[in-house]
Amino acid sequence: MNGYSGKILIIDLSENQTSTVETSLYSREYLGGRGIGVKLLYDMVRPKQDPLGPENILVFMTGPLTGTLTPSSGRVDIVTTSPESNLLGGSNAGGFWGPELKWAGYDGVVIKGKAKNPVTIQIYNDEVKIKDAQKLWGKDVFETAKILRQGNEENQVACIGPAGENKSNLSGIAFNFRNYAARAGVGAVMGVKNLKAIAVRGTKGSDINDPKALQQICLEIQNREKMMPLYNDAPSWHWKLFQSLEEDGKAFFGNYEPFLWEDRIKAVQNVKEFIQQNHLKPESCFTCPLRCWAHFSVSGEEGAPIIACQGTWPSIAYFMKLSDPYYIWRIYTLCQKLGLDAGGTSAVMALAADLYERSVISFKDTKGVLFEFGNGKAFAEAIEKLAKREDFGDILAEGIRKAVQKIGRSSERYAVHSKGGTELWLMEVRPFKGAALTCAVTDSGSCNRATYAFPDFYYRSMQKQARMVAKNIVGKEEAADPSVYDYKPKMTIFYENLHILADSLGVCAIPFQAVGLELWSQAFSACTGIELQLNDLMLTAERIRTLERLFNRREGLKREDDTLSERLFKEAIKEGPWKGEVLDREKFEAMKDEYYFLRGWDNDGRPTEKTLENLGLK
Amino acid sequence: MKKVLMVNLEKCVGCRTCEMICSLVHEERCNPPEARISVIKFEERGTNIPIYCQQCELPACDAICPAKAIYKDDLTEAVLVDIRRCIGCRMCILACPIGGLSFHPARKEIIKCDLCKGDPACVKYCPEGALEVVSLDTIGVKRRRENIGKFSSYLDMMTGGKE
Amino acid sequence: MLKIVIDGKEAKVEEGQSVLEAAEKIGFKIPTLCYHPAVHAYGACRVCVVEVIEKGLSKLTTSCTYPVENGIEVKTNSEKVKKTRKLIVEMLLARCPEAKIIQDLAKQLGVEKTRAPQKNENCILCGLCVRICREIIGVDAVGFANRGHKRKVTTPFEIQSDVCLGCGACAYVCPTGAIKIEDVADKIKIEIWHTEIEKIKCESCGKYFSPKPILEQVREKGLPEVNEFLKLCPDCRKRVLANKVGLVR
Repeated sequence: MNGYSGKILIIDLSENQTSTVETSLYSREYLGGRGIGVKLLYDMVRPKQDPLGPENILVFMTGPLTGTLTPSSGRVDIVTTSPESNLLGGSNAGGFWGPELKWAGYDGVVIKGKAKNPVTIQIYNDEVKIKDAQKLWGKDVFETAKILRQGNEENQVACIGPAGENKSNLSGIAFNFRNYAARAGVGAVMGVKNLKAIAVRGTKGSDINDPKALQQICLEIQNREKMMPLYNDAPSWHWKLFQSLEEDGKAFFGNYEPFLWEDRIKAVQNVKEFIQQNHLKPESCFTCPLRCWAHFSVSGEEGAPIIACQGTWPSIAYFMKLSDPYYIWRIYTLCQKLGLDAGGTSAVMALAADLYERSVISFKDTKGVLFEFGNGKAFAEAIEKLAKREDFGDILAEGIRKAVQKIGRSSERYAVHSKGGTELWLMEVRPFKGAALTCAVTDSGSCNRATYAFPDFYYRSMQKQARMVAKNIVGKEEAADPSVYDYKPKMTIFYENLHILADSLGVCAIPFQAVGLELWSQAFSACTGIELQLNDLMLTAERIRTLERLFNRREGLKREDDTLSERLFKEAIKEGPWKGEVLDREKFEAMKDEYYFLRGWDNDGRPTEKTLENLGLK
Repeated sequence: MKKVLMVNLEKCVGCRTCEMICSLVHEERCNPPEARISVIKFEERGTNIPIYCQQCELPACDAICPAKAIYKDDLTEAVLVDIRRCIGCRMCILACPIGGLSFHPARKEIIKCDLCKGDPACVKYCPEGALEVVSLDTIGVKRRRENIGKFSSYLDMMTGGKE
Repeated sequence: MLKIVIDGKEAKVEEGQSVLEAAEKIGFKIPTLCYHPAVHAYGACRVCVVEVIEKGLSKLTTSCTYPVENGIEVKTNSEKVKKTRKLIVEMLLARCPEAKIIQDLAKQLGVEKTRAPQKNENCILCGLCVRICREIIGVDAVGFANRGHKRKVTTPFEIQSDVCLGCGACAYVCPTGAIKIEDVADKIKIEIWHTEIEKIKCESCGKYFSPKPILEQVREKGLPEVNEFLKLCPDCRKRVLANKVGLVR
């Protein structure tokens, strides 16, 4: 098969068996990556299974473009039933693991069942071994990767840390020392299956249908990516993102407070200096020009060697109100090592600090651990305990929704999350109605996957551009205005579809829109030899999206679950450029009505018979 | 007019595009073992070093080849293998101190960097412009030695004598 | 320079080469099985037969062994040549019906069935392995034994040849793939010659990467500057170099 490797590896840890299925059974309708992952989850798992039970599957799926010359093609998508939300859980990671799996001869790996004792899976082309991992259990992510790469530095390692081993709902899967599939508690699923790591080495490579065409397309895609504003800023984006957040007023502080954090400017300054001092060199993921990672080294300290310039620094700083950059970095490293989602963990810490401040919880509950905004040292301690599920950490490890359920004492009214308890990503949604809608209706667990590209988010700083983009997408310039409810459903659908396609093709979402669907589909044709019209692609995106909804409805999802916490509808912002903004329940529900309609779902959010027929989902 | 492929290590971000384009141009597929350039990554140190044949002045592969199948290109002075004359003993692979030659896994032939007839594909496709091809006359032997690094006695072998 | 005529075309060719080599340089491809540019021609397989016409007299001869002479006329694909070549391949096919290269040649020439008694050999006695081992590698580990229909290629006394370096060139050049070299963990095995040679382990990654004797040959005959790297496999050498370069920065 060209482009694709042709086979999906299925490993049953209960039976200690491996088998393969043909990718071609799914690739026509579901493309690859996220699409095939969702389809496999839907087919292989019966409704309402325990996400921490052996029947849940953990799918690692690359796309047809992964591991080829196509720029930014290092991605792998993770799909499972999330133990945090008990709904579909998805995450995605870059780096070099996906390409290595492709080159070993597999488009994806499906993990079923549960091993009796801790194991690792070692894949070297056709050789698939399940090996005892008792000695690795308990080790952090860096140590694990190091050991599994000893003498085989070409090995790519996907592993969990102590957080995943302890089934924390905030745990993710790390790829070598750098990339992360952090959301939806995917680490917990891997941990409960007693799977410590998957090490891959592949030497078979990928067959390309039209090499000359791919070469030409590669240069064009590289050029488009280099025209993105992020390209020039990439090496300094680690701290420039803070400035961008400030300019557009799009971040939230503490436990989704309606106030601005007074030390936020100071924090940015500190972070900027710290990063400039310790930033060594830009790094890229596989075949990517953007270099939005950096090699980082703080003298005398052992830390994460490679750091991302996306939302993690601001999440840690803003949610826990940390202005000391040393602690921001410490906590970043700590989350990496332990195998935790830094953003989600920060949000949980913020909630705990809020509850502590309000005396809803006391140091008796927390067994002496302080939850104080701005206290980096205390937070670091708390995070270690969360990873180990020690004392109060055991409750926090459940994620926001389940944690407040356990705490009780009406603590739910302070919690902010989207469906299933998923922690909201960095951006404020009260002023940004489109983002609010997207976070509410998403079926794949993490709302950042579609929201951060919205033109609303740069409306304040680059209004002209934002209006132009909005006009291109929904035909109306005013749609870029964040506080407008109209046209947002169309915008949500546009970005959701785009994101689904990026995740299914196996390429990075960050340059996806700037490069344009036309070029990506040409790359797809050059690699696979399959001609895809833009219509086909959009239809495929619709199909995948609707299947995600079908899965969640099967798990019991209803219209009322497509929402966000009450606080966001009741508590208006009290300070700053978006003062007074809050979500209007009526208008919000109207957005949902329109969104369902455009998706071909009924007013309850259920896909109609006609839609299912059109999409071939009957 | 000897051509030399040079890498600027400050610019290399370890993306491995060079491996992809090299194997695509020579073998029509994307597969690092089929590329003539290898990016060695030290993730913990944040260093990425592309390794490829240095087109030595006094090549160890040529010195050992019993079939006299190794020669230098007329124009670029790239060190090339006459596949028709090659007997497949693979002593050249064993002789090269930096692993510059390898045996193609499927076609079972010696492969090595041939500078793409003086217009290397990796130079064109590296998104950071970390690779460049220059003529030795322009940069001089001294600069070339600096680029390779002062690390071993075989530096003389590569650049043909001290300078 | 000499003047010859090939297939009706006049050409000037250099002295001191065979008709086969001269023809190829001008663009006339003549099929061969036992020819290799690095060793002496042997004329064993007979596939490269051509007609050489000199002073009006035509003779059939192997083009690999016939030196170019001034004024000769060569026919590489006349009816006579075609018929002869077809018969040669027919007989080769009878001897080695499973050999792919001969099957392909047979198809090309229109040979469908063989009239000679069928055998099931793999070796066509072309002597390439013998010549390569003697002239290029220089150890003479294999040679021809017996005569007539009992002729075969083997090691002295049909036991492991103690001079074999394990280089694998014999297997590489063999046109029919009759020589199989097996890679078994820490050894290579050449079953037809009862040979087992241990491999050397890379000091860095522990993988067995080369038969010991051929590595020693490189140590002896190669540039002394490379000796310190012979204990490492080529992949680890890349990493060692990268490490050194990286540290220098």
